[in-house]
Amino acid sequence: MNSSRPSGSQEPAVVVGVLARVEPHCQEQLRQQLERLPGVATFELDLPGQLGLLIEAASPQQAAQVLQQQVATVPGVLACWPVFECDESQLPEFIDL
Amino acid sequence: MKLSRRRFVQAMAVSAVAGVAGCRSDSVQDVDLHVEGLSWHKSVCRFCGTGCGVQLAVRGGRIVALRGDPQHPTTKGLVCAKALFLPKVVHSPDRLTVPLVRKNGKLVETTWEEAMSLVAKRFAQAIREHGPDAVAYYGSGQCLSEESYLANRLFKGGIGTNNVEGNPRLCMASAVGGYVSTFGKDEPMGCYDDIEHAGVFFLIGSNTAECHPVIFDQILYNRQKGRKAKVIVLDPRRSPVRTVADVYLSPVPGYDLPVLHAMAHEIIRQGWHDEAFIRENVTFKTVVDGRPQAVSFEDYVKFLEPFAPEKVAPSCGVKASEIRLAAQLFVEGPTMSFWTMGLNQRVAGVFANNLVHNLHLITGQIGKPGATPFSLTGQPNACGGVRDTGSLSHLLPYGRVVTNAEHRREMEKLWGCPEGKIPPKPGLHTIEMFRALAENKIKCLLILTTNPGHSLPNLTPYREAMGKQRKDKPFVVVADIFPTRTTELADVVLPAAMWSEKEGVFGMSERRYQLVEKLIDPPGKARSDFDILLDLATRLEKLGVVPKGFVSSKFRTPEDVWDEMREASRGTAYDFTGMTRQRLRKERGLRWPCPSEDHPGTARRFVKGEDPLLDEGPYADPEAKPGQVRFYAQKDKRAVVWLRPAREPAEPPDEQYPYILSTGRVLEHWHTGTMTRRAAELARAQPEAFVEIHPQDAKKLGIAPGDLVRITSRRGEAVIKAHVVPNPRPGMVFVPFHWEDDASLINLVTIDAYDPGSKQPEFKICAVKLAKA
Repeated sequence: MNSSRPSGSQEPAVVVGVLARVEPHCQEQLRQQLERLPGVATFELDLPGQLGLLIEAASPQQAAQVLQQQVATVPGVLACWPVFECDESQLPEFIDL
Repeated sequence: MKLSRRRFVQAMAVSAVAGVAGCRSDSVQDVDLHVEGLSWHKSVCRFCGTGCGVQLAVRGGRIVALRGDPQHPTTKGLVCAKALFLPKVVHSPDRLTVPLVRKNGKLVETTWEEAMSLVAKRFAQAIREHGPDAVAYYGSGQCLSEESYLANRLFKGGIGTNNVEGNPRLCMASAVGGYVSTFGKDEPMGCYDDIEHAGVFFLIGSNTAECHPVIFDQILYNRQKGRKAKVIVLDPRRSPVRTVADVYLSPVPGYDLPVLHAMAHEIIRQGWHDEAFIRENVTFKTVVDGRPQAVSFEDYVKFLEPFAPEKVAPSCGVKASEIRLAAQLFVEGPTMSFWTMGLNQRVAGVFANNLVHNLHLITGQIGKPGATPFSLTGQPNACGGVRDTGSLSHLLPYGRVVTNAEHRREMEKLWGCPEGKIPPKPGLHTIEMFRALAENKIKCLLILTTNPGHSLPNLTPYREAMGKQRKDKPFVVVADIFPTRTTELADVVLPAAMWSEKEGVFGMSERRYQLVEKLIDPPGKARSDFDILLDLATRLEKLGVVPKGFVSSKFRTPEDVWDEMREASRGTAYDFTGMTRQRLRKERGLRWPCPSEDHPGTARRFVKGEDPLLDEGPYADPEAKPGQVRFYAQKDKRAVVWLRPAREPAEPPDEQYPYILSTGRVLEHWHTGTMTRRAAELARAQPEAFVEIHPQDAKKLGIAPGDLVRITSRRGEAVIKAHVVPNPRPGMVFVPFHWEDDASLINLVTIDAYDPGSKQPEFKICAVKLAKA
C-alpha cells in the first residue's frame, strides 16, 4: 500500500475496497491525486490502467459519498467498482490469525 | 499472531480488489482464512453472457462467499463486482417463498396445490374453448437450458402452439438474424481465446467496460501486455470504452450503417479486400421483391458508391478521415469485432449485424486466431437456453425452424407427438404476443424468470394488458425469485428457486455449455422452474389437453431432459452428443460442436482441422485443407455479403420531440435491477436513475447537474436527475433502465417499433422532448 494514512483514525470505520479503472497514460499522476483525498489510500495492481483504492469513512453513506462525489469525478478515473465493504465495529479489536 | 481489526479489514479489502482485478497485489499481506465447515464448489456466474467461472463457498446450507475460478479455461479467475454480491442476492430477505394467488384484487398466500391446480385449470379451459393459440409462454435467457427446452417442448409439441417467446427477443434476436442470414446458422464461430490473438478490436454498440467487464479486462490485457492490439470504437455515446480507442467514431444515433458501408467502400477502393477468400468462400446477395437474389462482386462495388466516406460523413456526423483510418486499422488484423445492444436493439438490427459480417468476409478476417465477428450476450443463458433450444416462436431446437416440414417431423418424432402437432406457422413474437394479450386473443400467459412489466418498450399498454382488471382479463402466471413490476400484475405468483438452488446448464456466448450444480436448498417453499413445468405438464395431461405421458412419463430430473437435448442435437450443426452429464460435472464447460464423448470441444467452427463436423457426418468436407474455412451451414458453403440499405430509425427527432433517447446499463446493476438493487453495496454505488445530457443541451434548456428532467415521448414520460456530462452527443440523452419506481421507469418512454426481420424492438433510439421538472 502506498499510504497508511487512513489507518491513523482510531474511530470505528467502514472500510471499502474499490477497483478503479483509470487512464493508463496518467496513472501515477492520478494515483497521487487520489491519495490526497481524505480517507483514501491507493495500492498498485498488476495491470496498467487499474488502481486499488481503500476508502475509510464513518459510515457506508459517507464512503459512498466520497466514492461518487470525489473519487469518481476525478478526470481520468474511468470507472469505480466497490467490491468490498466492512464495518469494523462488527469485529473484535484484535484478530487472532 | 494478532492483527488489529483495521489492518485485518484493510487486508481483506485489498485481497477482494486484487481478486476482482484477477491478480495478486504484492503489497498485500495475505490473510489465509481457515474456516471450519467451508466447502468450495465450481459454478458459473448468474449475470451476463460472459459465463465467468466462479467458485462458491458453502457453509451451513448457505452460500457465504464467491470468488473467480482460476482454473476456468477462458475467464481464468476474473469476475466483476456484481458477481461478488451474488451470495447476498441469494439470501436476500425479500425472496419469494410462498405461492400467491389474487383474490379480491390482492395477492394472498396459498399452497402449491391450490396455485398449480388453478393454473392448470385456467390453461386447460382456454385451450379447450379457444384453441392452443389462446395460451402462451414467455421465458428467459436466465432459465436453465433444460427448463427452456422443457417449456418449448410442452407448448409446441404438447399443447400445439408456437406462442413460445422469451426476453432474448429484446436483446439478441438481431444477432441471431445476422448470423443466420450471413452464415446459415446462429451463434459465433469464434471464441474467447481469440481475444489473446487479436491485433485489432472493433467495438461497435457495446459498452464492454461496464456490461462485459471481464471481456474488457482481457482486451486491456492484450492491449497493454499482449499483442498491443489497436481498438476502433464506433458508438454515439462516449462510454468508458471510448477511452482506450485508437480511433473513435461517434455517429449520429441510427447512422452507423452508412459508416460500415463506407468502411467497406474504403477497403475495396484501396484494394485491401481479400480476393482469394472472397472467391472461395463468399457470395453476394440483395433482396428483390422480398426474395434473396445473387449478385456479383461488381454489383456490390457499385452498390457501395454512394457510401464513399466523404459522401456519408456529413449526414453521419463522422469525419471521412476517421472512417478511412478505421478501415485501414480493420484490415491490419487479426480483427475481432464485438457488439451488443447498440446494434441489436434497432429496427435495422439485422442489417447492422450483416454489415459487420460483411467487413470480416471481404477482408478474410474470419476463421483465423484473433479474427472473428463476435456478438456478446447480455444474459447467462440466452444462447444455450433460448437460441439453441429454439425457444422462440419461429424456432425449433438446434437450428431447426417451424416453417420447415422436415424439421417439424424430426422434432415430432423425437418428442413422440403425432405428426402435424407442431403448427407450421410461427407463433406470435414478443411485441405481438403482448399486443394479443391486450386484445384478449391470448387468454393465459406463463412468464418464467423475467420482468416484462419493467423491460418491455412502450410499457403502458402492456402493463395494462397484464394487470388491468377488466372483463375477460387474461390470466397471467409469473414465477420469479423476487417481487417485481411484473409479479404485481400477476394472477398467480410462484416462488422460484434461484441459480445454485437447482441444477442445469448455462450456455454462454462462445458456445460453451457449463453445468450449474445445486449446492443449497431454495428458501421456504420455492421450487425450480423445472419442477413447476413438470407439475404443470402433468396436470395438463390429466386434464386431457396434453397427450398422456408426453412429459410426465419421460422426465424425472433435469438430467433426463439433458439426455434428450443431446439427442436432438445429433447430426445438426450444434452436435453436442458428447457432452454427457458426467463430463459437465467434471469439466469447466465444453464448447460445441462436441460430437463424441472423447471430443474436447471446438474452439472455432467452420475451420478444417478445428471443427469436427468437417471431418465426419452430414457436413464433412474431405477436400478441405487444414485451416481452410467452410461455411457448411449454407447450402453452397459460402457466407453471404448482403447489400443492405441503410435503414433509418423508426422515430427520428423532429420539431416537437427534438432529442434522441437511448437506454442502456451501468456497471453496478444488471437489467431490471431486481437482483443488484438488493445488494446494499451496489445499490449505494448507483442508488438512483440518471439522465446523461450534454452540457450544450443542458445550457440551452437551463438544466444544472442534479436538476430533475422531464423526459417525454409520444408514449409516456419519466422524471430523472440530470448528469450533465459530454458522454452523449449533443442532441442525444442516455438513461439506464435499472430502476423500477414510476418516475424512473424509462420504458414508459421508449418505442416498441421493431426490426421487421428479427422482431427486436428499437430501445436505442426514440424521439423525446426535455424540460426541467
